[in-house]
Amino acid sequence: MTPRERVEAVIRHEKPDRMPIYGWVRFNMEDKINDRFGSVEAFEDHYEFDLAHLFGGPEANFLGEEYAAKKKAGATIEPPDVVDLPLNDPEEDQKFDDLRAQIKHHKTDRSRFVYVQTPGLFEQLNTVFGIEDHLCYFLEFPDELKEVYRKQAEWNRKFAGKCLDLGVDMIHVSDDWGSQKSLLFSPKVWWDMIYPGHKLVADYVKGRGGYVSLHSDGDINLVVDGIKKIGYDVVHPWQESAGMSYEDFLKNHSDSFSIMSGYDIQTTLGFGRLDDVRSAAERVVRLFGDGGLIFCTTHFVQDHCSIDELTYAYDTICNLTRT
Amino acid sequence: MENSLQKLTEAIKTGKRNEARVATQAALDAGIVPESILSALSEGMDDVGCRFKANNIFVPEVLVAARAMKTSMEILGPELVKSGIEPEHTLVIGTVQGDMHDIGKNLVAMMMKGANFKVIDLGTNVPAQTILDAALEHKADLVGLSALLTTTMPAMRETVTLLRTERHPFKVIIGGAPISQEFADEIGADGFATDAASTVELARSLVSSS
Repeated sequence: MTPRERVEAVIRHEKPDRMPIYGWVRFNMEDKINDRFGSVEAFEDHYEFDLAHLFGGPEANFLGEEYAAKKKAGATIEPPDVVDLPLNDPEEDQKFDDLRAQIKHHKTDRSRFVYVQTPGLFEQLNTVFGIEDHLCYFLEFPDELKEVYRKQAEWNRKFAGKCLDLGVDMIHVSDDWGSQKSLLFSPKVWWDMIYPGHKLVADYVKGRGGYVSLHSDGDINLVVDGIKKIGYDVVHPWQESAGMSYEDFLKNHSDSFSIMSGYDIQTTLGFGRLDDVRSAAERVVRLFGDGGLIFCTTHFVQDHCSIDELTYAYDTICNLTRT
Repeated sequence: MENSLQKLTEAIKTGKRNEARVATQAALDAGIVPESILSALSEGMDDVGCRFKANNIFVPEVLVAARAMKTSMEILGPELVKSGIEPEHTLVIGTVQGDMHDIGKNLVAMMMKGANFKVIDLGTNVPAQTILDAALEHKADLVGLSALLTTTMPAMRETVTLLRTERHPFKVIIGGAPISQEFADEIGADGFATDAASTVELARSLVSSS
């Protein structure tokens, strides 16, 4: 199997020839990796990563002089401040040049499965409102906020379309909803505000033959049924340290979507406890030997991880899955 | 008279800022003593805390309740001062150095104010020495430390170590996504809580036992 075929097998709920492997290693660890391997790209080649998580394209922005001035001044932004404003062009071609180069490097030259980071709704609009005010607006400005979300979702859909045009395999929607022990907001808010925009993007992407994945940290158990209804193919991470159990996934959800998980960066990788790292890898291989999981870190590896521990972690998972 | 206090408690429970303002003013106009109005506010926030802890409500409901309480306190605060009523206990709180996250810390600060603690909020990315200095300056009963990142857990450890270099009268409580009771025990904190409502319970228990 090529790396891309291997990942697609997992997404289609088939057994791959071996577990696909990836990791969020660049952010925080780039200098250490460069010192040991020469470059992050060389690290990815050394461990024969099967996927590539790409970043690029324009960033979403509401356009309006008054809004821009308020934002610059650090004033409170409320939904009525932006609800009637246009957003910038999500398909501005020259902003995608870097993405084109990354797709060539990973997909054309190395047959990797490529997925691109796209904005979610809650996470993206936190950049407009600030998280604390934003959470209050769910209750204080529900109608205006719903309209803001609708506009952002439409921007996201066009952005995703452009990425598919360039050959991206999967649209990865980043939208943190979870806290350590539950959702940040109620399931009612999620269904009312979040679900429609995610469904819009997912239906569009899947209608064009692409895959969709979701990133949300934390405990999102209360909306897993909604994630299934949206049609997400992959969920990253499945954070056991926040109450998302692998056993529950295998029993109740593995027919609906696959997960991208493995080394928990909150509890396992980066603490110098190599036995724990090995145990985590062995457990994942034992549970997901027949598929259902793309091996990955649960988030960016943190800078308290040594390069020796990182290489031990990837030597271990490669040895367990490739021999 | 009782009606305006009930309305105030209800306004806090439901996070209605304007209703809280009106009810607070009505209670004062009716001659209700500030201490009773404060009790009505605390009753509302206690209810919010219980429902949050039980996962019956979520962060937005807590935030709007806290904002309603703040609105009420803007009116009530000066009356409490005139009456010589002050919170019995003081909490100095901050997110440890290197960590810019504040929503968890803010929730704790809000809930603690609702429980009638005086709260000195030092913000985020706070050096250990600043926390110690503030605790001494404000004669804190409690110091609260927050961290969201595993990368800033060492800063939490260093802060607790500094706070423990001499025998001080305050207790140290910690919290945040990667924090556990095991870690609290390891670094010598007096208490750990998993959420803002539990922090209030922990704080009450620590100050009553000291």
